[in-house]
Amino acid sequence: MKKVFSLLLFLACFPFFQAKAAEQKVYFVLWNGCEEACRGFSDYLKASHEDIEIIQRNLDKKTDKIPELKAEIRKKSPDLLVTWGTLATVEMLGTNNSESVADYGAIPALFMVVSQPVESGLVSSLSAQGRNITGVMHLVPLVEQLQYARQVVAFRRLGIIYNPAETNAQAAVDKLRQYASLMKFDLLEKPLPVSKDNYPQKEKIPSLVAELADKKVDLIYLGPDAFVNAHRKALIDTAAAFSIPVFSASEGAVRHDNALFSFVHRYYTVGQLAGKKALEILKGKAQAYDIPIEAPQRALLVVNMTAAQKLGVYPPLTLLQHADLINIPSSEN
Amino acid sequence: MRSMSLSHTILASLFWCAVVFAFTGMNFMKYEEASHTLRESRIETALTDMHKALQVEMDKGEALPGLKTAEKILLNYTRSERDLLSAMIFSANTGKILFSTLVGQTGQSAPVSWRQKCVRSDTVFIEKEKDKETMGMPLLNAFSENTGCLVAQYTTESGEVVREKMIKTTFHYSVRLAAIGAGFCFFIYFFGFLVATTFQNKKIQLAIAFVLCQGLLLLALYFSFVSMFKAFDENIKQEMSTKTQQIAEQISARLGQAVQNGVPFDSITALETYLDQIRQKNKEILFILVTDKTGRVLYETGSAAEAFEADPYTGKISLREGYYNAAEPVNSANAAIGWVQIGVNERFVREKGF
Repeated sequence: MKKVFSLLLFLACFPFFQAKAAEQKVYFVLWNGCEEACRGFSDYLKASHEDIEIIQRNLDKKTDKIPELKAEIRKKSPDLLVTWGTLATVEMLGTNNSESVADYGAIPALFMVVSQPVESGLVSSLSAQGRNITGVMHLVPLVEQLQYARQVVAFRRLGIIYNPAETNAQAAVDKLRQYASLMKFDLLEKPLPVSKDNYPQKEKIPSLVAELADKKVDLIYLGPDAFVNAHRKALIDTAAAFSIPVFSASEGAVRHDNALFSFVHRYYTVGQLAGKKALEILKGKAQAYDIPIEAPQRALLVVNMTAAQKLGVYPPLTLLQHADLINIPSSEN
Repeated sequence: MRSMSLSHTILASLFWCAVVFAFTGMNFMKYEEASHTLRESRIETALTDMHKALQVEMDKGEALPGLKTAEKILLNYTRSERDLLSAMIFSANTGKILFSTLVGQTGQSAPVSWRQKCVRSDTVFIEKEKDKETMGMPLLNAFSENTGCLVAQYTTESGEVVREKMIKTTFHYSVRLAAIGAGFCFFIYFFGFLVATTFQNKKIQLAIAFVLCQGLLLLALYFSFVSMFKAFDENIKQEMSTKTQQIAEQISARLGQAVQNGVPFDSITALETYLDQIRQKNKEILFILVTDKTGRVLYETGSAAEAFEADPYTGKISLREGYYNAAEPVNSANAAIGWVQIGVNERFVREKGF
């Protein structure tokens, strides 16, 4: 009887053992579900075998849940707040000026998949943030993209079509101007004209490409420009008709729309690097503001081989060996 | 002229023997080192290639433990490298073996010594055992964090066979050269004795002795040394040809892959740069040619002309003596589309060392 009683007592206590709370909590705000960067982040924390609970909240590409999440963060008081993407990050953390900055007390923050944190107003600089936040960028620095691009196409004239109303796009053009003189190439800029209702005219893209072709550009750069990227097919197809290769800051244009190549950091890797930074903060090795904002170091060349065949432009063998080759034409062609 | 005394003759012979043994010993060390370097660099090349392939797969967006292609990459290289016993990857975090070409090894713990040595990204660690050696290098992720280690174990048996052959060659030529030298000393002794008792004119006696000494010494030494070097060259020929063949196979595989991926065989950009990098790394390689099916040279690096000679009577071109040529077909979609030709200077150890 005593034995049965002991067993019952043990079983009654079992749920308490099971319900033991994790040692630390990470509050993860996602923009559109848990994709590759989120998976990389979770895998990294899991592989560390630390007792960390990840509370995931998905915005479903909408900002209306933001106040609710902010309230929950204050209530739950996690050890780290993690955000995904520029929009979710800016909404959750606010920009660097005092009016919009979000106040979560001493909770450090970490962002990932943000292309230009300084230009977006999140931090004042990449190494001295001015706030208790750090993060991981997903874009390969422009200068590196240009250096790699030179190995693929030895360009002397680089063209760009951009939406001047977009901060990211304008920032990229400003940087290109700086590098043009340093790397000794001519930059041919074509800002998209704006209609009467202040909206960029997408139908002008083919004629702007034709103008660039007239000026004999060797390569067109498709930068971090949301509007031009939304209408990139017209740009890439027209450029192909003039036998001008297009290289892109993002992989999507290469994968889906026949841009020739891009140098990227895969989102999984970005998530893993964010995981590493998260552990540094959670294990008390460093404060978020002491950890520099950076991108992974090793970039991956993604080449669309069908586009390469059409243009007759092939990356050098030394680069091809370490590249991710996609849209490989069938051998019958 | 006073004739050479017997004790002087014996002393001179012994001195000669010591010099010969020291010289052949040095020669042995030089060639043994070259043979070892050839084998080691062959394994290192395979290891570096595997390493690069794995890192590219990681950069494509996968953590090391979940790398789907890892096992296939390891197996490919183990099959193509005859001395490779096994290849494996262990995790830097847990020390557990994640992938291995040996059945039943996955999941076991890697030896502590490997975990301690496999830390520096710029170095290959080597651990020597009685009949095998282990070589390893860390696998870094895209943000330079040590995530694991690639380790290859290879047998040193073929090296031992070469070493044994070299010891035999060393001993054979040491004895032969020592015997020639000693015989020469005794010859002078008897010659001096003969001249002192037979020739009265001292001028003639000295001139004959001088000419004979110089001539015989030079001839004997020349022929013996040439045949000794040839024998040593012959000893490392196998190592050299295996390594050359492996390099040819690698180039051929890369070219075949590029063509398979849609790059036309005659439009491979900067192939010469790649070939030149290989030539710079492997000093014994004189030239690398890539030809099409008909033998037309498409890409070239090095000085191929140096290795060929034309027959003055027939005009036929053939490789000069002392040069070796490895050929490997380039295949794409199971059909040969061209050839990789590598020319090697078989005497590179001799030319480099002496």
